[in-house]
Parts: sequence; C-alpha cells; structure tokens
Amino acid sequence: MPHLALRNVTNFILKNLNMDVLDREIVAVLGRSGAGKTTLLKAIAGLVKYSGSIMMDGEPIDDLPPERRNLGYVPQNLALFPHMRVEDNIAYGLKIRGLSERSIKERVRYVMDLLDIHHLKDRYPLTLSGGERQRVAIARALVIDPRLLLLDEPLSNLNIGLRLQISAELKKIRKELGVTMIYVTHDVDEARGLGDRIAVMDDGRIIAVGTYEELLVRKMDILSDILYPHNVLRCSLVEEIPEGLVKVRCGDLTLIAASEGRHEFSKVVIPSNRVYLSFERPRIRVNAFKARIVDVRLDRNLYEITLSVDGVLLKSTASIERFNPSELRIGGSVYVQIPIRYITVL
Amino acid sequence: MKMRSRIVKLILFLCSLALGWEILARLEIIPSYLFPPFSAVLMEFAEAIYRDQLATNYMITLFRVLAGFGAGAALGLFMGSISILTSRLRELLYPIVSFLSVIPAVALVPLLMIWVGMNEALPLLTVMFCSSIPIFYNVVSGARQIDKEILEVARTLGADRKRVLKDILLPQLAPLILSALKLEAGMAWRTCFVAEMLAMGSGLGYMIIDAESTLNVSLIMALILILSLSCYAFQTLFEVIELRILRRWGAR
Repeated sequence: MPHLALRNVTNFILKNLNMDVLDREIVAVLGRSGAGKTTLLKAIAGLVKYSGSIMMDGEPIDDLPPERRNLGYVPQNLALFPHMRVEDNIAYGLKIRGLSERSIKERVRYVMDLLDIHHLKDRYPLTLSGGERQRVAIARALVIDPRLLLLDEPLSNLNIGLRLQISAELKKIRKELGVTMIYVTHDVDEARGLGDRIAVMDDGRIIAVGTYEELLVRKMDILSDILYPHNVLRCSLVEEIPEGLVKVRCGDLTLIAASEGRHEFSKVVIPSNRVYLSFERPRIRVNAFKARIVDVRLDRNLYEITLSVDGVLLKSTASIERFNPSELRIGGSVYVQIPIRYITVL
Repeated sequence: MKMRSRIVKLILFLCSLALGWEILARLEIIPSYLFPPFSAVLMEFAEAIYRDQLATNYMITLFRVLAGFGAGAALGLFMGSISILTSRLRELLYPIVSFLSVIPAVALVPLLMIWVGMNEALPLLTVMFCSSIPIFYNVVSGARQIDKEILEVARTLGADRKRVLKDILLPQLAPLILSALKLEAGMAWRTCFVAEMLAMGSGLGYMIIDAESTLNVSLIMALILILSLSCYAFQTLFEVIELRILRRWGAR
C-alpha cells in the first residue's frame, strides 16, 4: 500500500491528478513554472480546496484541516516567523502540541544538531543567510515528526555550493529519520540527484513517473517537450578508460562519458541545456569542440540553437539573457563544451 | 551614544532658533505686541506656571488626550482583530472605515457639540474617534500584506485560526500598529486642542482662545510651543518602541 495516494485530485489548477508515493521514498515533482507544482503541495497540506481524494496509509485525509494533517511544509520563500528567534521558530509546532518544556528543548536540540544550526538558536530570521534560513525552515518542518515532508523548490535560491550541501543534508535526513519527501523542482539535475523517482508534471497533471533513466528510455518526448530538447546520438564504444569512464564515438564526434557500470549501449543522451556555448576556447578541454551555428530559434525565454560539430547535429538551449541576438549568427562559429556528468549512456 | 548625539543636535538647533527669534524681534521691524521676543514668551510661560493656571490646564488636556487616545487605540485594535478573523465582518466594516478615515476629526466637533453637548465627553469622543479609525485601518490592511505563506506554514505546524492570530499575525503587526499609534499620538493632541478651542472652558486649547481675546501673543506662542513639544514627546515614545522591536528582529 502506498504511503500517500492521490486519486483524481482536481481544483482550479490540478486536473484529475493521480500519484502514489511509497514509504520513505523521495519523489521529485518536476515541471515548468505554472505546471501546478506548488498547488499540488498545498492540496496535500490541505491549504487549498480540491475534489477527489488524498489518502495516507489508506486513510482519506480530505476532511482534516491543515493543522491536523501532521505534514511538514517548506514553502519556496521559507516563510520563517520574523518575530521569533530561530529556536522559537523551530519549537513552535511542539509548543502548539502542548509538550513539556523539557521534551520540547530536547527535540529542538536534536533537530538543530541534525541540521548543524545549533549556533544560530538565538538569532532572528532576517539576520540569517540564505542557506541558514533554508536549514531553519527544514528543521521547523521536521521537528513535529511529520508523516510527510513537502519541499517547494528548496534549492532554487541558493548558490551551487549551498545546493550541494543542502541536498546532501536532505539525503542524510532521509537516512536518519526515514522521512518520506515530496520535492518540487523545475531543474532536472536536482530531480535526478535527490529523487528516487521523478514525477513529471504539466498543466495540472502528472504525465510520467519513473527514474531518470526510465524516463529517458520511455518518455523522452515528454522530457523534451516540457523542459528542453534532449540530444540522442547513436554511438559505439571506442574504449573503456579508468575511473568508470568510456570513450564513445557518435559519427565523427568522440565523447567521454560515465559508463555507470554499463558495458553495452547504443546511444548517448545529452540534455540541450547542458551543451554549453562560448565564444572563447573553454578552459576544460574534455568534450570541448568547435562548432558551426546552423539555426537559431527563440522559444519562450530560451534560445534553441542547432549546431554542427564535425557533421553531427547537436541542439543547445540557453536563456535569452545569456547572449546578444547579434552574437548568434547563422553560419558563425562557436565553442561547445559538454560536462561528463550530464551525458547518459543507454 | 546615537541617542545622545541626536539630543545634543536638537538642543543646539532649538537654541539657535530661539536666538534668531530674539534678535529678529528686538529689531522691532514688527511691533512687539504682534511679534514678541522669545524672552517675553519665556516670561509669560514662567508666569503662567507661577499662576498655577498652566499646570492645571495642562493636566486636564493631558488626561483628555491619554484617555481618548487609549480608548480609541484599544477600540481600533479590538475591531481590527475580530475583522481579521471574520471575513464577513471585514467586508462590512472595511469600506465604511475607509470612508470614515478621510473625515478630518475637527469636522466632527460641531456635530458632537450638538449630539453630546459641551462637556467632558466631547474632547474624549473626538480624540477616541480620530485614533480608533486609523488603527483599525492599519491592522486590517496590514494583515493583508503579511505573507500568506507564513500563516499557511503556521497552520501546517498545528495552529488553528485563533492561534495564528495570537502567535503570528498580531506580533507581526506590532511595528505597523506602533507606527500608526505614533502618527495618531500627535494627531490626538491636535484634535484635543481644537475641541477645547471650540467648545471647552478648560484645557490648553481654551487657554489659547482666552489669550487671543486679550491679545496676549506671548502666551499664545508659549502654548503653541507646549503643544508641539507634547506632540513630539508622545510621538517619540512610540517611535522608540517601534524601532526597538524592529531592531530586535534584525529588520533595521
């Protein structure tokens, strides 16, 4: 029996949404902005009205108000209570439950140690940095021992270093407390890095569920469609090199990729947003090539650029802020670099 | 340290103002019964204190301001709080109060003179009215500005509506309420003055009208000074509290 089950959940945004989450699982809900990801979390938390049914361990929770659902919710803007010290922010959920001073103290201390924020306990939220606030918000949601932790884009406002740290901490929390999590993001790499499974959401529905590899194999069109195109190249193995890497040949293009323990494969997949363009020779020489611009299109707020690298066609997407339209001339040349970790062999 | 240098600056400013005033008046460009020197105002001030008239009337006005303002603030807060909780009441009251809030309190004095008569209730009611409306208005419109997600998170943590009001909404509105109180504190003095001028036989406002009838310009000026100092002191009190809260939260 799934830990959480949504059946035909419908409201002003969600459309007959169905979804299952297993006990202790992390499901990453992946979708563009406006797909209804936040509304989905709010429906589960009981903060928006819906029809249909949401069940936890087989019991419907639709009639319970948010304060009786016992879920941890971390909204995107974190929503720390500005008038309370960090310690009081975290303790709030326990104070409402009327626990004794001593057990509140113990429990708060445990969670603060888990997230390594004990030194912040007397500070006020407005004085904290982005990463610190994120930890406090997670601690506040965890302290009530929730049946489910709902996280809305928890890494989106952080720099790369903090992203790695916080996602490592989320993994640690899952391991130590065995919390089931639903994790909303618009970033494939985040979804892939943290989620046991990825649920792809579009226009108020869950349109595909699976691991990243499963989605690449079965639902490539969906990933390409709602996010950005993925390059799929037929290839053959040239040689295996140490540290789990392989050299593969796709037409006249030779790439280095991580084998992920595979010895047989016939294609590589490269998300187009990971085909990096620059006008200066890239400092990293691995998988760096000179390319010719074949076509440039503007789709929403993204450039979709088609490139020819040694006669192999590759698609690259970049946000419109990245380049000046006049720089991307058709027929012009440009450097391409593809980081090893974004190449998947199948 | 900061506070002290602020006070020093203020005193220096006031001293130079008084000096300039004194020199200007001593030049007798304007006849001194129309524009008396600062020293004459001070003398009048001292004499009024000596005659015991000033202290008595000051206490009367102070009482009216404090009582009217206290009652008005309490009423505004109470009405505001229950309006936050019940959306139906809010929808009913908010437009009415928005409309009332643009009426200058002074314009109500003649009406109240007829309705309640020229007695102690008049300045009290006027002050109460002028302080309760803006505070209600600030509580309700402030509650709308508070991040909705903060209230939602409080709900998921187990708080029902009443606890959200008590633990989350009102404490967060405190700076906003204080800044409304700050503005209205000065307003309360001014309103009380006008009510006394128009309708009362006691208080500083009455004294100023009385001085006008005897063409005692020095006393009028002394009273104006007292009024502005009282307004200022009252406002500063609330400003200090407001700043203290905001600083504690790290907002300033």
